[in-house]
Amino acid sequence: MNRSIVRLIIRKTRHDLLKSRQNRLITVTVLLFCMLSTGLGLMQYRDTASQINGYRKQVREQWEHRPAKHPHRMAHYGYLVFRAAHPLSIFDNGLDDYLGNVIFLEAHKQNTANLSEAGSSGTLVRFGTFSSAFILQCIVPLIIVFLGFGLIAKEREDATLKILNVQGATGRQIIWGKTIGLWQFSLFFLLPVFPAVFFAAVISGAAEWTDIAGRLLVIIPAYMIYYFFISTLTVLVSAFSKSSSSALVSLIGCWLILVVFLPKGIQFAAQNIYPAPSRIAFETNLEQDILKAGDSHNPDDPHFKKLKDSLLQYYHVKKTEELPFNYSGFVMKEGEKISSGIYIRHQNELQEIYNRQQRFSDASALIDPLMAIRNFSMTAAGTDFFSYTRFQRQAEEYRYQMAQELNDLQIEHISNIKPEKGGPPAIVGADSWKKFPDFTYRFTALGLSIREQWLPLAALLFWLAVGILAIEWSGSNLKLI
Amino acid sequence: MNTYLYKQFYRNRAYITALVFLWLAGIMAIYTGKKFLERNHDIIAKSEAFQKESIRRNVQYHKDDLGLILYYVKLNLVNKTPQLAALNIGMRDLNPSIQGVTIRNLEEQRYNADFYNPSNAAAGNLDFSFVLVFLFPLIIVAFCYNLISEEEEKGTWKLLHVQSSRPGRLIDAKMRVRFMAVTAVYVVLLVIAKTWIGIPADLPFAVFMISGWLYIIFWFMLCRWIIAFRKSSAQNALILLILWVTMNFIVPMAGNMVIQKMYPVRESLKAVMQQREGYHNKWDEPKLPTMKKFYQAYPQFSKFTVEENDAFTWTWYYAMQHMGDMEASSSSRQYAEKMQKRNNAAVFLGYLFPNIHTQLTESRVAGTGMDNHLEFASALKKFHEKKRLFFYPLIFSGKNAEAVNWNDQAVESFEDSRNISLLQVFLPYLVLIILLFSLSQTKYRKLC
Amino acid sequence: MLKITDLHKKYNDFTALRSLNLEVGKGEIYALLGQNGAGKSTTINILLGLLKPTSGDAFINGVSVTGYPDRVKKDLAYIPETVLLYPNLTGLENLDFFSRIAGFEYSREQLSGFLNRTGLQETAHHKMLGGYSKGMRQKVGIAIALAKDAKVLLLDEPTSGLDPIATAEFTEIVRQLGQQGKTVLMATHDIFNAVSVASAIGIMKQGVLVQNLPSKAFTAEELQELYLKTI
Repeated sequence: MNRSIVRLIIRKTRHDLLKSRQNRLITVTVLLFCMLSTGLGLMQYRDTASQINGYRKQVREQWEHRPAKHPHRMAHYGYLVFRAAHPLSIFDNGLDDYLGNVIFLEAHKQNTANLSEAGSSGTLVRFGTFSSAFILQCIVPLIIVFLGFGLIAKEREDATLKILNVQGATGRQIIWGKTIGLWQFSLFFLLPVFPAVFFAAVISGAAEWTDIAGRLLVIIPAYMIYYFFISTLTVLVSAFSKSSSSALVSLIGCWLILVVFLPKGIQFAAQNIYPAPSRIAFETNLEQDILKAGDSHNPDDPHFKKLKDSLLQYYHVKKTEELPFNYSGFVMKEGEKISSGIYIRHQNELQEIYNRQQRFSDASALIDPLMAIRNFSMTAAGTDFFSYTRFQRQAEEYRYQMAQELNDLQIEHISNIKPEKGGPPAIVGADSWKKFPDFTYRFTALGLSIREQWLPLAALLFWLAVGILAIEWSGSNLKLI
Repeated sequence: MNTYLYKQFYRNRAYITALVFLWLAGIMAIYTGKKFLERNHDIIAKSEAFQKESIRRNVQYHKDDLGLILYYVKLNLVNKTPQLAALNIGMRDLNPSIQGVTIRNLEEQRYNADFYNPSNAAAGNLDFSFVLVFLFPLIIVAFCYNLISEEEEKGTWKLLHVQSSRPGRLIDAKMRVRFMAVTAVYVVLLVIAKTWIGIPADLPFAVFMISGWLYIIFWFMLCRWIIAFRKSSAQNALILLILWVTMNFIVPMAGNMVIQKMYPVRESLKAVMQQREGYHNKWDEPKLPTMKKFYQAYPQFSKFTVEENDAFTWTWYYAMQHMGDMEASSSSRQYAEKMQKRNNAAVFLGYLFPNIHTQLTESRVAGTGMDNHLEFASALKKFHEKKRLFFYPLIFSGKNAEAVNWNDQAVESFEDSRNISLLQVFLPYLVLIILLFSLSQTKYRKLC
Repeated sequence: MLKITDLHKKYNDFTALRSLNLEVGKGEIYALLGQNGAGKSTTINILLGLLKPTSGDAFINGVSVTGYPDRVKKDLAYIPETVLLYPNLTGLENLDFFSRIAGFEYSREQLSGFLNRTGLQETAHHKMLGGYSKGMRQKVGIAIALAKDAKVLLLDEPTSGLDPIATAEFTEIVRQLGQQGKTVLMATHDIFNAVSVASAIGIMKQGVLVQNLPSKAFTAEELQELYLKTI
């Protein structure tokens, strides 16, 4: 008996919302926009991917066709690696516009990923990207609020709320019914988008369909929970507002705060509580530490004196030229290890600051459900900061390997004696280059991403619980007149 | 009679709350801008010391090898940040306000991004321009959407119509009260910003102020036109809200997508690859052709010759570096051109949409937009060349660290002229305002 | 059927009801008169369980309103002053919806039957409620009450805004309800209507029931005189 009342109210609410021609028009328009953005996103993704592949091939070819030369020259020639976005960036662009697209890998030096899309765009890019995720996270809630603000307030004004009560419907049943009815209507904006996204992502061919499906299967319930919260908020504000127009104003205010002001405020707070150093400060500190540790370009560098002496003693020789391997190469290998270690230490400190900022922002998901769904959606779509740091880490590992392998080549094949003026150059054959494999970027696994960033998901469940509790509490306190 | 209109306005608690909210948002934005400016100035102030320290260290370690010193030493060029940038942070959180370059090839260094947390950049800044462009219109809409429909729904419209032959004048009077309230908040915020942050009262600031005010007038005119259609309160609110969402979200986002598609900027990646090939290939090629190309570019250095079978000389090394720049120069130029084209397209879009126009104008006068970024990039190129031409002869003739007065090598700055065409700034606003006014005026005359 | 004992309702500084005692038996129609603000609507809202009395109680069919508000509703029906219901449903659909809420599932014929009993023409049953006149909407309200088969009906200003024909139709329906044994409590300003249909009349002034009389004793003019004297 109780449940059927709720079901009646759910059905009626949903019907009312669907019956209105204006609402149907709005739903279709929103879905069209989502499809459009998915289609355009796919086109852009394929364009970018084919260009990047072209460049990647070019870089590889150039590397393999380098003539015989000194391995250290090769190490400074370095390698260019390009970032590839996960195909689900078609759905949720995330941070993609702000992430660097190319890293130059060379010996002794760790470079930043440069040339983000945003760096080449102007002010317009700061308005945001037109992805389906943006529409679903920011625009649809505004629509839900607009279509649902009168659900209880107007019934109170029309006194039908009173009659419902007399007929036997309790406040709790009314609120549950309206919330779920509104929620079911909101799903019409959400669910049709995902088959299109799945289709587009699979066509792009950049990831396995199982990976894509798995990610989408996690994304969909997350958005459903988010919409449940929005529906709850709408109905409860409607229930506790004096009139339907004040309900509308309050709800638009809520939307503004949740969608526009809190996210910016939170990032501002994160930036100021955990300030990160500028590039110039970072590089200066780094340079200071590295100079302290010695210059590996200079085989007579005093810091390497100890190393030199112990080697000379071990091999029973008096000069480095008499060592059975290339001493400069050896010194450089050591130097690379040391400088790499120093850089990684500094980089980790910087990364830790960014991590603290990120954790702060993640924690804010407990204040703002939009932050929860935004961060979680990015994580699942692979366009979050964590995936980016994994890319940076993979690139750094590749760079280190490349530098050390080239140092090894130098140690083994280059003579210890400096070549004379006019004499044959100290070089290694060109076929050595082919032996070093290409950089292949592996997408971060979803399980790992979520394990590392579980807070947004937990926050979503928190908001679900908040919604349920709020409905239960207000049910008994609903003013019917 | 106007006193009653004022009373009606300020006795409405919702209106006062809205104004307070607007004011608070503005204060928060100004605070954000102040912190940004402080950090910016702090970084730049410290950079002088950093550069000195770095030079001192490198000179100490490599005092006999000038070429090696200059291999490491970074010379910094500052993109001066005007105080006004606190009100419109623009691209300054993304693009560095100070760039350091060695005299090696520029193309390899110039794209080095500053360190920023992409999440922060993606969230955007809560600066004054943002509050003006996003929030002020909402408050204006909230004040105006039911000016006519409220009277109709309360039942007083028929009464007003009987009492006066031109009820339109009353509506305009009500709107004037609201306009003055919003303008008052706007002016108060700007005065606070000016004194708190210390913005000079110069032409850019005046343009900033006036363009913002014209934007406010535009929104009042837009509301005036929409409410003249005599729809219900709910419908007016819906229409104006849809317009707000379209102008502030849909159009800029869609516009950006279209512009990105029209002017793809892969030239930057191409430039990076070209400079790398251009420079590194020279190691394997005979030296004399490289030097010949170098002497063509800089005949004044032809006296510094290089023998084919020299093992390694700095002359040859820096000539090779410059080759990298020369070979990438056309891509580099095309990249800058593309970015300029993108900016021009955005400006054109701004002529139709005042919110975009306001953002672009305000970032232009604050020196934080794309124009500033491009001008700084070309200033960097000139700076780089100036330094090279200064150091080349010293290096090529084999001098050591003593030959340079390192105290002269201080941090230099670039100042954006921030000049704007007043016509280009104000005309789009005026056209739209006059258009909306005349459209609504024809309806107002017929108000009954 | 309906018994109000010693009902008090006090807001912070304002007493809306003072020591109200009232009894309406089976088949009786009670007209409650009084100025605006006298406490008529407060009384009805308390009976509906929407307000809690400061002290005292009311009994519907012997069940306490303060003790078992949910159970009481099963025997209670209510018709508000302005019947707005849902304009985007037809008259029949409105009736069906509210009946289902109350737990009654009727067939189309049965629902039409209820509407016919109120005098609503057959042609209007499937038209949108938004197009109904005030009298027609009120008939749907009455149909909802009928379909619930409640023993006690509460009516709030039922004839306000009705044209003479609709008023006459309404009066006839209420008379029939009384004959069927229903208990009706009617808050009203319409003295003529009160005299013609009610079996007892009460006049409230500032929260107190100052007159409580059988209506047979009066003509309309006499009641009007008494009313003005009392108020």
